[in-house]
Amino acid sequence: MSTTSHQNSRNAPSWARLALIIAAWATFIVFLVLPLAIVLIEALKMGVAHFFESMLEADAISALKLTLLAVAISVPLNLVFGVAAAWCVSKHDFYGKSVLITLIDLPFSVSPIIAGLVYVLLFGAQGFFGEWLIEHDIQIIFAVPGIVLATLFVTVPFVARELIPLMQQQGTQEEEAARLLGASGWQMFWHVTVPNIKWGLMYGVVLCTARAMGEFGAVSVVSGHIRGFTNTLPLHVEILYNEYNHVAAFSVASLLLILALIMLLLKQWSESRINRQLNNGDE
Amino acid sequence: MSIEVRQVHKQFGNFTALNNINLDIKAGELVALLGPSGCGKTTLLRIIAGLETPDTGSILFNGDDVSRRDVRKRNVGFVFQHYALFRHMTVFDNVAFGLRMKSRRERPSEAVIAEKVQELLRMVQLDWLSDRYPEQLSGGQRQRIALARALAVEPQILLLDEPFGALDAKVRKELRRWLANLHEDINLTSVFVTHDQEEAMEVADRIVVMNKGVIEQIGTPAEVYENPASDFVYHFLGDSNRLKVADQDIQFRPHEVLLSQVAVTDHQPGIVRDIRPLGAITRVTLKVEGQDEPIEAEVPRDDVNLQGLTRGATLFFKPKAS
Repeated sequence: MSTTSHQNSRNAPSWARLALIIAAWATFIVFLVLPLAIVLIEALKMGVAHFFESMLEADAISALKLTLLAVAISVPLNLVFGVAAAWCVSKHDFYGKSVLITLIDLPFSVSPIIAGLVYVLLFGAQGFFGEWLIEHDIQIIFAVPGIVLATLFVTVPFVARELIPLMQQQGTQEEEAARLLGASGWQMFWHVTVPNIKWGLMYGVVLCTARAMGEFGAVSVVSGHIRGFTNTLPLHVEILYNEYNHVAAFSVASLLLILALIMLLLKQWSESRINRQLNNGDE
Repeated sequence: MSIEVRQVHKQFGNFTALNNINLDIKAGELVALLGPSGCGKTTLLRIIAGLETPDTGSILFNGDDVSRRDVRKRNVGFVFQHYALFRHMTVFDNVAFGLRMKSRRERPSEAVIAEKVQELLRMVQLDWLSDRYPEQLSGGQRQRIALARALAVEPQILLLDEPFGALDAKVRKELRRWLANLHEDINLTSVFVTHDQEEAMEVADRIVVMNKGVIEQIGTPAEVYENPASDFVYHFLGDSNRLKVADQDIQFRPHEVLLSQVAVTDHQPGIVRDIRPLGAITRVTLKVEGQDEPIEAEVPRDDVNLQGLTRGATLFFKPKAS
């Protein structure tokens, strides 16, 4: 049964194969390559000089800095949280484990806008902690802390989600073996657990970083769009676009694009390392 | 180092894994924990190692209560069923791991570690593999590396969980003998878990037969085979036949049978269903009137009664009086 269907798919008429290949390429070009090309074309429409000028304009640079700040805070925190959560879930059995797994996924299922609104309701002037925060002169909403919090929220699942299946599959025996050989908890973690998950961890961090840089919805709600202060790159692109400043919008967009491409390369690299690690096993 | 297990009880939810286990293992002994899967043998091994804690009861090494001692302080060598080698480390680093994890005060220099690791690898006859990764090794090689790794920290107790379970028949036989020799050479107290009675009989000094969380019998291979303490032990340690004679069941092993091609007094007729040459012995399966369960007889391959015997012929048999 399986061999015949295999044969069929191999002997599919050449026109069908050709049509499928053309359809795949067409989709790829229309939906992926073309938009990317247009970003660059639009950005360069008024010359390279103008392109760099609008990319390096003060507000754009401050947006870039803010984006990188949000990444620099949320990614390490998620790294720690993700490893801890994955460790808990995959190496131990405890009451409420399935609740924890569901909660980790919450940011995936909740719309980012809702996430942003929740923070406004909690920390905004009229919010739950609003009065207390005003008394102590702490501003979270429409300020940098709010942006970091919103970014943190939407990126929580990435590292943990990447690690849980990996760690579950690896089981606990190597850790047990390390304990039996006299390793302390930390030694076991650094010498056995971390090396086994490092490429999966890398992959999760890359995905997390990409999302943190590109996040729009949640950040948009809590940001307040104060130019030069609370605008991240995606928000800045939107503002420029709404002002019909297309060249500037696309120039800044291409800045984001470059960051995204770097992340993509890192992702590809870590993925190939994971595969190489697995392939070693088959030799 | 002697091991004493005192009234150990272990419960997993509603399931009683171990029910009041008492066991004395003398220093230098090689003991097999034998039983079907789910009988608690692996749990007992893990409790001795310190990987599980018993609900009640205690474990004593050389008379010292180690029940509250952490795994890493018990200094037992443990070989996992699937070896649990560190996959990202070379064979050398795997074996060196235990030495490198020692506190700075006790840790030997890298040169001493290297020497020690090479010595262990020579002992398991795999020194030529020290740069390989575990995935590049065969099952038998991994198993020996796992053993070398466990022995590197010079434990006085060696625990092995189904040490030969994942290997093919020929490698298994070789390693079995090799392990028994090794045990003699380095004077360890060894406990291994197995579900294979042949393995237990061949390797162990004493066999602990377990079933459903209790110990059915403890004894030398000859004792448990010849004087089984219970029906369970009798059946678990070898094939057996059940013959209905006048409302009574007689049990006997396939080799405990007398055959004849002609009718003899006290012999019972059976129709030959199958004749299987199995090397030194030949197994004849007989259908007996009045019962569904066939009778199996095992005789030397040159037994006179096999001459000219074909399927469908009638053969007369009688259980040997034990």
